[in-house]
Amino acid sequence: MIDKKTWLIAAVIVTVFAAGWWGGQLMNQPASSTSKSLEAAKSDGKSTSSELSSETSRTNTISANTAKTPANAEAVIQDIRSAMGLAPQDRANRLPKALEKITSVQLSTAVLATLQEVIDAGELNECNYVISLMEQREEKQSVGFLVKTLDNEHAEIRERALFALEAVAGNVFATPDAAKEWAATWKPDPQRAKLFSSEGIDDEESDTSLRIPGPRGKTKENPVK
Amino acid sequence: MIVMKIKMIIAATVGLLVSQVSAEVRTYQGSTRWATTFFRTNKNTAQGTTSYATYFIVETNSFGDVIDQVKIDAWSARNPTTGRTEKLYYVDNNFQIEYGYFGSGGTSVGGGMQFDGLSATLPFRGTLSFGSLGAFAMYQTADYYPISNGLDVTDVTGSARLNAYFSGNVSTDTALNAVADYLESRGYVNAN
Repeated sequence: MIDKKTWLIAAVIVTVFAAGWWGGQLMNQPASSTSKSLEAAKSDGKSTSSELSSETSRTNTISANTAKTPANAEAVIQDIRSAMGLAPQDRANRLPKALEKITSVQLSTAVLATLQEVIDAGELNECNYVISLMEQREEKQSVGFLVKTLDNEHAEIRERALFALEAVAGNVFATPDAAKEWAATWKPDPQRAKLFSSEGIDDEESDTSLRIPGPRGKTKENPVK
Repeated sequence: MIVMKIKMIIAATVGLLVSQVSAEVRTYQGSTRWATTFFRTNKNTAQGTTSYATYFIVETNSFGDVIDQVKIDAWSARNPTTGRTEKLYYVDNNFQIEYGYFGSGGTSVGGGMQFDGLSATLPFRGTLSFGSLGAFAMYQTADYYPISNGLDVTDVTGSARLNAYFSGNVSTDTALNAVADYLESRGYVNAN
């Protein structure tokens, strides 16, 4: 027979578990409902503002997304080539700034050829910079560029390209050939492509003085000191 | 017999309870680029631009709360003195992360990161997949940082995607060690 003590322990454990599960569901609700309303609003093509909770609206510290004006690819290429012709000290400052502009241009054959010139020059910091820029795109052309860089004559450049391909894949490759095999069938994720595009970055502002909601709608103190 | 069954139910319940409070580590692999200005006696003395391969290790509990986090930067550069290429990684234990649901910009999640030594927050935006952050991009910022110890970070940008290989129901330390082992297997040396 079951004594009263065993029944009591069983009842307490089941009650605690049920309460914890119920609490977890409640805590999950604000975030998921916000996400759902955003998704619904996006699919309707309507403004999301009315769908957001007042908490989310209050802490909307990033201004409206305004598409960044795409840079002129020809001008960007000229800027990169101009920087490459400078003396080493000036080039070290100018070239990264010029390269950064490729985030807002399409990876045309001409743009890729210009980036290849930077890689071929073999200056390690500059090559790392170009590879980082390519890694933060979600396009067949950028992955193709990184795959080509796996065959670079410099080991450190090949390794950095492998890191970049692993970042895109979200996995680790045992060999460069494994990365090439993966790249042959890889397809861009449109959601990530949009995330990594530079749209709206210029007009975004942050107000770090506000309290921001933490996970699942809980408010946390902004950690800025 | 019934007692045995109840004991089994208790054991299963305890197991479920444990699984409810277990943590999950998600590692985001990507890169960051920093532009910096070094000041001496209020004069602009040098500028530098650096690119790092970066691993963001974030541990969350079953409710999605961030309970631990660490960042690892790895980089290679030629030492101008020796002419040799140095491959280093640095474990940034002061890395802090906060999530916030800003809900603008066509994305469903945003947040910030704090680097304690620089007393600043890096805003980022990301995409959710099944309620979990799958990738994020940092904003380009200009003059976001206050000058600290003569170092002014004038521009920061970056992004990262979830890396399944370094993620799972493990501790932050386990994931950290896995990333460190992986970097060392590729010739990177701990710079801490």
